[in-house]
Amino acid sequence: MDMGVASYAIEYDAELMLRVKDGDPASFGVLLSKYRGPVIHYLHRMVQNRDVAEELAQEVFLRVYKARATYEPAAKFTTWLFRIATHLALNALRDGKPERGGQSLDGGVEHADGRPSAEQQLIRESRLDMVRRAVAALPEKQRAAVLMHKYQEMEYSQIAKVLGCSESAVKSLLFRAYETLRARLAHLA
Amino acid sequence: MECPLEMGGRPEILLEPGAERHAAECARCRDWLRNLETTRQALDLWQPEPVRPGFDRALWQRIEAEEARRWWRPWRPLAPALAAAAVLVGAVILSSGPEPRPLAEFAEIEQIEQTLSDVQMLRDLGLTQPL
Repeated sequence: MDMGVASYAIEYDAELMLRVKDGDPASFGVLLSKYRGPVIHYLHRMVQNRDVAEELAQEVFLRVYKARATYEPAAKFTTWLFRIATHLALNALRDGKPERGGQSLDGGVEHADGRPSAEQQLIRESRLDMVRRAVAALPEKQRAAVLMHKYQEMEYSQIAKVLGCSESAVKSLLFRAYETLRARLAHLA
Repeated sequence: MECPLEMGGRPEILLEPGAERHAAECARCRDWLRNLETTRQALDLWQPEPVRPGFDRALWQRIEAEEARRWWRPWRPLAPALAAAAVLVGAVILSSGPEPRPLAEFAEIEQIEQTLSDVQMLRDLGLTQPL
């Protein structure tokens, strides 16, 4: 992403949040429609359970709305958002919440385009399942770092702020996580 | 540059922007970076599913409920005092009904009735002059 466009997006998010702070719920609606998907997908990949992920995502946005009065645009809006999301996901994992739902590593694969043959679909689902299990087997912080790096395309500095550690610690987490994933997913190459 | 994958090296620097320059001269690191790319491609298999409808509606309902609770929250510590005040006001309203007539008034009526009754009795006994 072009840096000018990126900084505009940052300012725009902060501007929207400041409007929410001033009592404009429509601006919260804009932020919700922009980040609803990324937050739910991140949480889904973290807790591996869609129902729990949506429940946690509701809590994330509710907390953002409740904290609007104290919002100060000191950091990127997304850093704040993913910090809340990560905190809730780690707590849910420690409480064993995803397993309680009985849908751990849930499927729900939806094929929007084309109609693959039954065999292709089975192969695809089997590969996808391997990816899910490989990610699920990572330690929580490594998992969070990989998901933010790979799927949210966050910079090391931002991941460091979300996880509350140094940039070099993030790189170390990522190196170990990718090493583990490489070993587990080598046969998919 | 020493190979970061050697014992005692800092392998995480392979995630930094200058890593390709070193990898061009180091087969081991070149392999590692190629494998990293393959791993990241494997992760692409896990694409997001669409968000289920109703998510926003449920969230706005929770926000409205929260707002309602927020309005009430500052008053909650005052709830016992408010309840006591309500009881007091109720008691005052109940006690301010029609004023009871003074006892003296009742005694006066009774006395007149008694006098009339005595006059009637004397008349019945023929002890009074007809008016």
